[in-house]
Parts: sequence; structure tokens; C-alpha cells
Amino acid sequence: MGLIVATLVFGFGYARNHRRPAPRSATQDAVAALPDKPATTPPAPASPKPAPRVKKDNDLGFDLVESARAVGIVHPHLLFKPHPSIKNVAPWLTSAGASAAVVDFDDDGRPDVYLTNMEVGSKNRLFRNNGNGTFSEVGDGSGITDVNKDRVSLRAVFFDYDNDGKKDMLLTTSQCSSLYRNVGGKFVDVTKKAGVDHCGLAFAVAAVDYDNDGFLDLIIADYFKPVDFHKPATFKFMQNSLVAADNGGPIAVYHNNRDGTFSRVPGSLGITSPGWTMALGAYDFRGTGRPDLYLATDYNSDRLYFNEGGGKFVDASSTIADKYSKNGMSAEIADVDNDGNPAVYVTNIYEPMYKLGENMLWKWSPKERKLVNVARERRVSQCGWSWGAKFLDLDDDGRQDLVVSNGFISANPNKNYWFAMSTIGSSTGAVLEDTRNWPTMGDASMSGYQKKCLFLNRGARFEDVTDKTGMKDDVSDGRALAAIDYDDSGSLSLLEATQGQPARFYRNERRNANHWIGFKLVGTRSNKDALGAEVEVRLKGRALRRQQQPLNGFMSQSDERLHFGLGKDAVLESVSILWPSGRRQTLPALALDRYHVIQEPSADGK
Amino acid sequence: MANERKPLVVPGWRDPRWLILAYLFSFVVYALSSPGFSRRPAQWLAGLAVCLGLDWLLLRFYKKLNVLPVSGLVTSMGVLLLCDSPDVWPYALVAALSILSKHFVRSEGRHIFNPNNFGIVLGLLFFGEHVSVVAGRWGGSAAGMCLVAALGAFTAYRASRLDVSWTYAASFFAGVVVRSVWMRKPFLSVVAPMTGAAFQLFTFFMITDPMTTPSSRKGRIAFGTALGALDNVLRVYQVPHAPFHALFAVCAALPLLRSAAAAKAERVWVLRELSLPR
Repeated sequence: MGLIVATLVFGFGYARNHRRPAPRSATQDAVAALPDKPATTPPAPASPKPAPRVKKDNDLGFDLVESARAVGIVHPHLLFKPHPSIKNVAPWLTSAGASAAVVDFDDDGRPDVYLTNMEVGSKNRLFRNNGNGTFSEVGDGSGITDVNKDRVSLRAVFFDYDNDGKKDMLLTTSQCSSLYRNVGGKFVDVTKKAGVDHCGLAFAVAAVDYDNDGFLDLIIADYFKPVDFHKPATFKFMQNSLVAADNGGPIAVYHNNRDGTFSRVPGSLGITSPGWTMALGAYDFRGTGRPDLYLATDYNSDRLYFNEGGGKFVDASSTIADKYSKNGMSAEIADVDNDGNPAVYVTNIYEPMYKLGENMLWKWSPKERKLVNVARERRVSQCGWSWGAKFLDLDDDGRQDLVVSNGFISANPNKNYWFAMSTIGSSTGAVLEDTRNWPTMGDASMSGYQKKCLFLNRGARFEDVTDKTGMKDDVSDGRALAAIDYDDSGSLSLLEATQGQPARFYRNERRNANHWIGFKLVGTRSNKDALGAEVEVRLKGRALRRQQQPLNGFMSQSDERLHFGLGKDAVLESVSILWPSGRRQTLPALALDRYHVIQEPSADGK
Repeated sequence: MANERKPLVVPGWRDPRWLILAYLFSFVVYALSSPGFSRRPAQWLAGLAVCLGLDWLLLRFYKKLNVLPVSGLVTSMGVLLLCDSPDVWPYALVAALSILSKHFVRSEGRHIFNPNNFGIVLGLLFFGEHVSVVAGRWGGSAAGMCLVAALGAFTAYRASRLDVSWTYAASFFAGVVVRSVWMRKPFLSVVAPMTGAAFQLFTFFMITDPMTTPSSRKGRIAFGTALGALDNVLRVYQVPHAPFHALFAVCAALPLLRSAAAAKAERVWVLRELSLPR
């Protein structure tokens, strides 16, 4: 009798598992919904024209409308072909690298866009903001687009390393990194002259003034150990464990010498890592005025380093309360509760039956001096195979919402690599790290065609409202997410870099009457970009806080202007700025619904 | 007399389960202390409480035995090592399913399924969004794999079930060779699971449960061979967590085969007794 019951139970269970929505039809729908198919050759750019205003009937007070072509941002992300000897894992090796940066490269006060590419011979693209709701591609002759001749681009980081008021650029690539100095809208390669001798495959870069000397330093964390995918000297460069891999790339710290050059810091200030770093998040967690560092790490536990000043970092990873998820991808940090205690959103991999690594929302608890995961109770813990994440106030209600991109490899929907992955993943490290032992991926999908997540901050919890917005049809292999107020409307739009697919631009169609205020900070004693500065906007009965950290997240750089949604009946009382130099500046009530340029007072208080 | 309390019976130290318990406990300590394994004490305590409590209650009030639930203790450790979930409740659930199967899914006076395997298979089938098995949790250490294999082989030997392990491993390996040639896959990519600690745990600890394996040597060899073959077949069809489903199926088939064999033996005996041609 018992046997019969067991057999029936098994049968029902098996049937239940196989009754789940058939991936074929769902995926076919999803593919049909793509605005652009993955391209191998770039289509002709559409002639820029003002984006049509479309009204949607949702109850959110805003909508996100995909408008990449309409605003003139046409950028198909192209992938390189690894050496034939490692083509069995080619989709894996080319599965990350699409990055997006929002930067005012020509210092005209309007945010422009830079997108990278990953095919040898392809060009990165630089789009200038025309000021009329459109962008024009202006990369030719800029010095930073035709940079993929014998390598491919990964992360682009714009920062003013020489404090001349112009944004320079560090570009990590599949080979060595390059530093480009901005000489007035054009860029000159100064890598050798500046002493940035980093070679290695890095997604994670932080530009921080870790010693508060007024100049931005560089921290570059490699993912792989040095390897040339076009001519690999070894086949043993994959992770040697799924949960405790220790054979990834190193971390390099470059101190800014304040004379246009950098020096590599021996010992990297004590910041160590087993490699496989996906993202570096910088934030002053403890109110010390110094940037701490969060390292989102793949195939291992994440790391947290506290900045103790004087160029000394201490390992505070033990303050991360739980370490179930082992695939940290993104390190997006914000004060989501406006209570002065930041939260780190770390994306992970959730694939039922195989990997249950949920996304984490690590809330800093000053009492316990720990990061406590509140993702479950805030309802932001699951979003498939997640990559980039961005906190931004989409409806200008004063609370920062959260957008998450996802999807690993969307190829043949009828083939799934998860089983093969779980098989090779159960072996010893010596077998796992050797690419020759990996089953051929071919055209198999793996956590592909996933719907993105737009979590609206409702205070105590977040609400997934993706289906009510124009993001609902997005099943691309999303990677970087960057916030941008491209038309100075006070409504943050969203730029999404996708892997091997066209970039997307989600225009924010805000329809409510909420007020807002924004700030462009200019450091004088602090670094010119004011990275690390904290602004507190005091309203009647509440206060909102933001730190100037546009480089957090995954492979992205957001609009550097700090944006505060204020709600409908906002009464602004004061604005207080804590500059990285330690100086606190308090401003009286400023005009709402516009951006303000705030310069750090000089030593004599002017 | 009816109200007289029977003393708690504690199995003697020669009981082979103590050895298994000792080894499994060392794995539990590893699982709880290793950052890679990511198990929390609360998860173990949940499984432990349910296993011990439920097993003791069923022994005491269902089977009228006042016995220290050593088997429940063994099962609780298996639950912690096998079940993979960020939550606590799946450990309690799998523990409950495991113990219930031991007491209620029975044939010929003994349980049919390895309790842990029953619990984990049902957990995967019905709660796949919350329950998983991640073999990679054991990390990539070859030394760790060898240690698990050595301890497991000794345990299986003491339980007189080493033949099950070897035949399963041999059958699986033969299937690996066939799959590698037939499906044109790199040999190491197919044989990869055999190099991991999770495979050793399954081979030497899980499938060697004396209660759910045949008592005859021939039967055990057939059991191990069938298990390895079915595991390979399921892998061809990319069934997730194939070994567990294979063990479930083979264990389910055992009572049927036993009753078929018994019926055949009875027929032979009757025919012989009646001196009729067979």
C-alpha cells in the first residue's frame, strides 16, 4: 500500500514539475516582443527626432517607455569570438562585459552617454545630448571609441583624476586597461605616462579618494586571472569551485600622486580577494567621512572592507550576516529608508531546482554593526539570474525605487545548459577549472529570456510593478543599468546595456505633480567630482540623504547629479552637504524643480 | 502493569549506526563551519528536532517502543547535508517526509525508501522553488573527496554493503564511457560527478542503507548495477538530480521484484510438491 502511495505521489510530483509553463511558447512570445533582434552588424542609425509622448493608463504616476531609437541611441552590443580551442565555453566567456556610462564629457551641463562593445574591430559609442530630447553619435575623433583593435572593451569609468574640471576615462578591457585624459571634449591616451599599468580582465572598478587628499584614486578588481581569450596560454582559468573559488584575478590599488600620475600600492592596502570580483561598491557606511568598500564576488562570499583612514582598510566581511548566495554580481548602495543607514543590494542567481541564490538587501545596522539581509521582508529577493541593479526615485515621491536587470544567455529556448553546468559543477576543482572538461554550450540557453524587475518603494516594502510599465516586454540579457535625467525634467530615465543585444533607453514618462530638486556638486578642497559627498535635504518632518556614488551597481555609471524626489506637498527647509574634505555646508531653502550647481566652499569659506 | 513505563533502550556501542553517526557528524561540523557550504545551525536544529521528535513519537506511540531514535539522528544529518535552501522550513519539511516514509511507506516489515532520499525527492518534486541539492557545496577539494570516499568505504564495508557501492560505481562508470562515446562529449565532462565529494557521499553512505537494499549478494549487485544504469539513462534525458530519482525508482521496484520472486518460488515449490512438470 505504502509503495503504491509513494509511486502515486512521485507521479503527481513529476507531472506537476512538467506542467510548469512550457518554456517554448513563453520564450517565443518573449522573442517576438524584442524590439531588435541580436545584431551581428550594426543597423543604420535612425535619424534622431523628438520621442513621441505616449500616455499609459497605469496608476503609478509614471511609466518607462523604451525609446532607444527614438532618442537616437542605437547601439547593438557585439561579442568577440574566443579562440577555437575554447569555443565550447564561448557563450560563457562572452556573457558579461556590456557597460554603460552617463557622463557630461563636454561639460555643457547635459548628461551624455557612452556604451562599450566587445567585438574585435568594433567601436564603442559616444552619444552627445542635443538638449532637445535626442542624442547624436559623436564618437569619431573623440579618441575613445575606436579602441577595440586588438582587444575588447569592458568597463568604462569617467572621473576627473587631475581635478581640471573635465571627465577623464579609465577603460578596462580583455587585455590591459587604458587611461584617457579629457582635453576638452577629446580624449588622449595617457596610460603609460600616468603609470596605470594594469593588465587583467576587470568588471569592477572604483574611483574613490580613499585617503581624502582631494584626488581620486583607483581600485581595480580582476575577475579572471590574466588570460587571453584570443590565444589562451592555458585552459585552466575557469573557477575551481562554485562556492569557494580562489583562483580568480587580483586587486590593484593605484594611488593618485596629484601630479597626473598614479602609483600602484604594494599590498593593495590590505584589500584581498580570491578573485572573481564582479562589482565594487563604495560608500561611507559608518559616517566616518571615508569610503568603505563592498566587493560583490562570484563563486565565493562577498567582502566588506572598512576604511580606517590613513590608507588603511580592515576586513569587515564578518559583518555580513549570512552567506548563502555565492554569486554576487552588483553592489548598489543607497539609503533606501532615509534613516541614515545604507543598504547594499547584491544581485545573485535564482534558478529553481538548481540554484536558489536570492538577491540580498543588506541593511546596515549600526547597533549590531552588521549588514542584515532584509530582501525577503522587503520583497526584492528574487529576480532570476540578476545582474545590474539601480536605486532611483522613479516617481519622485522621495523614496528610491529599485530596478534589476537579468538574464544570462538567451539562445535556443529548447536547449538548456543548466543540467550540464550542474554536472561539471559537482566535480573537483582540478576538473572544473579546465575549460576542456566543460560540455559544449553550443546554442543552449541558460536562464535566458527573463523578465526584468521594477520594484517600487512603498516604504516598509517594495512592490513589483514591472507588468504595469514599458519594461514588461524586456526579456533581453540585461547587464548594466544607469540612471539619467536626459532632459532635465527631474524624471530619472534608465539606460540598460544588454549583452550581445541592442542597448535600451527607458524614458521616464512621469505624470504626477511631485516636486524634485537636484544638485551638481563641484569639489574644491575635495576631489572635483565630489565623489563621496553626502547631501541631506531637510523637508518639513523628514530628511532625505544621498551619497555621491554614481559608479556603484554593475558595470555602470549613472548621472552624477544627485536627484531627490520630494513628493507633492514638499516644503524644503534646508540642504546640508558633507564634503569629502570633512567640511559641512548648509544652504537655505533653494528653489524646487530644478538643478543647482553647488561648489564646495574654499578654505577661506567663500 | 499497563501503565508501567518501559526504560529507554539505547542501542549498544557495536551498533553500526554509531559509526555512521560519527562520520556524518564530522560532515555536519564541516557543513556548519565552512563558508562555502552555507548551512546555519538553525537549519540543522530544525531538521534535528523534527527527526528526533517525530521518530521518537512514532516509535513510542505507533510502534510501542521506547527506543533512542538513533536512525532519526542519522536522518537529520543527512537532511542537513543534502537539502540546500536559504530557508529553515525546508529542512524541517524534508526531515518530516523522511521520517514519515520510514514508518509508513513500508513493505514486508521494512521501509522501502532510504528516508533521506524519499524526503529530498519529494522536496524537489513539490517544492523545487525552495529546495535544491547542490553538489558543488562540497567545494573543489580533491582531499575532501578522498576523505569522504575513505570514510564511506569503511562504513559500507562494516555494513556489508560495499558491493552495492562498487557495482553502482562500476555501472555508472560504464554508462559514462557509453555516453561519452555515443554523445561525443569530453570524457571528463561526463565523468566529472565521480570526482566530487557529493558522489562519494551518495555512493558509500546513501545507497548502502541495509534496510533498503537486498539482503543477498546477487540482489545487491543487481541493485547497484540497476541504479547506475538508471542514473545514466536519466542523465541522458537531463533529469535534474538524477541519482536521487534513480535511487527512488530502484527502491520502489525492489518490493515488486521481491513479491514476483516470491510468487515464482512458491509456484516452483507447489509444482515440485505435486510432482508436476515445471
